[in-house]
Amino acid sequence: MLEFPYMILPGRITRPMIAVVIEGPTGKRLLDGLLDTGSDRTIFPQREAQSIGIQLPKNPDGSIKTAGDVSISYRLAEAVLELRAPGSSVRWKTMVAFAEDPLSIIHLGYRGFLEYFDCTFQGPAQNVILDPRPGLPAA
Amino acid sequence: MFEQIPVEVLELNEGKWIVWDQDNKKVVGSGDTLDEAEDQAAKIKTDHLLRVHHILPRDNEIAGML
Repeated sequence: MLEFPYMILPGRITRPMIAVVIEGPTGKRLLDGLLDTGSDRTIFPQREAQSIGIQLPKNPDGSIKTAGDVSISYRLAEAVLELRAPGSSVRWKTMVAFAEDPLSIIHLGYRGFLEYFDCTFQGPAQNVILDPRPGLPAA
Repeated sequence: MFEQIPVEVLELNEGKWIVWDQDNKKVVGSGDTLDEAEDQAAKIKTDHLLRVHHILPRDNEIAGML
């Protein structure tokens, strides 16, 4: 079980944003992503794939629509994701989407991320608990 | 574990990209673009894991993926 406080942002905005390591063949990056139950996929900026040595397919695998109705192409690739919380950590290998700009925030969505956890969003406590399920493809 | 970046740090850098040294708990790069922030951070040689965060301005509320 992993427990994370929400991130407190300027203007007293709180979001369930957590730090996640994304790892590829030549490196890893530590980035903040939003736990987003409204996102069908886990989506990182395309430039991050390049920085960790992930080769993306030439042609897009699909497109996503933002709340502002902007359509953004994405390419799928395998990566290792890692979370670290007090007393425990978890790593898994999964397909994530790498999207072209403009992508203002990293979305930790259903496929590739939330599908592997029981998630408890504790709004009043501004805390989220992620419980990895047996189907998690451990790396 | 990865502790959250303190809100005071985020307020000071609102609207910018920052590179945060997770071990030393300090900003090692900041700028209007990710490239600017990372160029600054690259001048400091470290084997620490560096965390990248884009601090959206407070009037930039988000509505999720629809």
